[in-house]
Amino acid sequence: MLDNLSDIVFRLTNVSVNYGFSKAIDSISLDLNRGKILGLIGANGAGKTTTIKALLGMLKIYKGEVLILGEKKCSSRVCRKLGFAPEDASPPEYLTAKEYLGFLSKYKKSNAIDSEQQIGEFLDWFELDPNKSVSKYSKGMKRRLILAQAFLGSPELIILDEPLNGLDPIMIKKLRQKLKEYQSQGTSILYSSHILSEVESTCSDVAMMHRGALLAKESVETLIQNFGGVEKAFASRVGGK
Amino acid sequence: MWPLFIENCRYILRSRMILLVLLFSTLVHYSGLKLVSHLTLYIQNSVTVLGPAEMLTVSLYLQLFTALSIAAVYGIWMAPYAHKGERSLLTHVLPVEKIKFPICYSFCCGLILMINELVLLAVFWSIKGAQTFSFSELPWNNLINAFAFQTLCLEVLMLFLALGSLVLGHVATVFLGASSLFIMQILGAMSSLVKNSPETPFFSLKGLFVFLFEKLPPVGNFLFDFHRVVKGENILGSHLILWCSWLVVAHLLFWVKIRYPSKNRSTEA
Repeated sequence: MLDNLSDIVFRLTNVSVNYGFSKAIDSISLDLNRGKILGLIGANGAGKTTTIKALLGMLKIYKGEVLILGEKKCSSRVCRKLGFAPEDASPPEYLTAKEYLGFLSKYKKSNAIDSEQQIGEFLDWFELDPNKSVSKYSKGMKRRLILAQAFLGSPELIILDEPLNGLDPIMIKKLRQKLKEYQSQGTSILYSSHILSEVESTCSDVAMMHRGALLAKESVETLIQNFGGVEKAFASRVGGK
Repeated sequence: MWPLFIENCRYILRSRMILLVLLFSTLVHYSGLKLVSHLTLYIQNSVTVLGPAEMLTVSLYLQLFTALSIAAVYGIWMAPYAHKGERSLLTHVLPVEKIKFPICYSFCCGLILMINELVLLAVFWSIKGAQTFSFSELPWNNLINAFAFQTLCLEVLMLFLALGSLVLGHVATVFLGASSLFIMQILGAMSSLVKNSPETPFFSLKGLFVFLFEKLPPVGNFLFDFHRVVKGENILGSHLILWCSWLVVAHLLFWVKIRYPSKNRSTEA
């Protein structure tokens, strides 16, 4: 609690979420500072997505507190400064990519001319056909559109849940560059993935989860120095569990 | 809320809902009105041909069928679209106050119902001619009141069906919705029987049943109330207040439901 609160983009304090009678996440305490990329790693079922949903107020929290962009819940004010790409979501199928991004940009904080320009750039950058209906998009294209909307409107916090699913290697490389670019502009990013090599090359810090508990949160540099890499660090932490 | 409303209108257009409403309404209204216009009543040796006002009354009942279908389809399939499955996560992080969603759906449903009513008037025009659209020929006040009352009731129904669709799914809501309407009619009849029997004390099971039933949306009285409005009579103020109250309740329940898009009983973690 000694950190400067204005520097903290989100903070989870002893957050627990139950699915029925079983605990999905148990007393998670996690925070993210401005301008950092935090990798959230763990095996399938470790509680990464649940942690993100708890942070965004999508689930009822059994106990604990959430602070996100200065507020205790993910209100519409917070959402205006937030970009989120869920793992499996599909955009509305009756829209084209351009219409979808246009609709979202009306709610984000950028002005109309800026957003028009940004939409054009994003469509080019993510290699999306602007006038094709989303229903005719392939899975990979839908994934790219979901990622594009998360970056729209210069958000202060971007949350990406398994962003690499369905992406080709060229787009993965481009996405890594994009994340670094946003980080250099002061955007904070929460990056949930189980592809540890990608987390190592993209993130500044890593939080490791296992069976609903947070095992550790360290900087990538520390993990490389102490364990020789994120993958080895994760194996040594989880291996004995 | 304007962009949200525009987006929903776009959805209604692209899902071909409007096209289907136009076709369906035109078919039902045209065939119904055409049939009625050729109707001659023989009662005790006197011959009666239905005038424009009577024809319109008949067609108002016909359009209840199309309006009910529209409200059901919009409530069960269209309103929950953005709040179902993984798409609900994207909707959740839209910078829009959650209460604006049900309000927007009410406006959109109202718009489609209005189109249905316009189709009725257009069909009526095509069959009876423009001269019948005068204040002397048609009871315009009653007509507008009937449309407004019907829209109010059907919006309550639409929001409850949307809520049911979110909680139980499409198929279960279709059957449960139809069963509820049927049960409400029976309960309505039972309630009036119990109420009219003089020996029912308030503090009894029957008295409690009547008290609770009278707080529910007066679905069982809808046709009678609608008939009164069409005839230009006043409907019970308590029924109108009940429908308005349930409209507010339906909006609030929908808002509560979409506040947490993910259930705390999933197998994923």
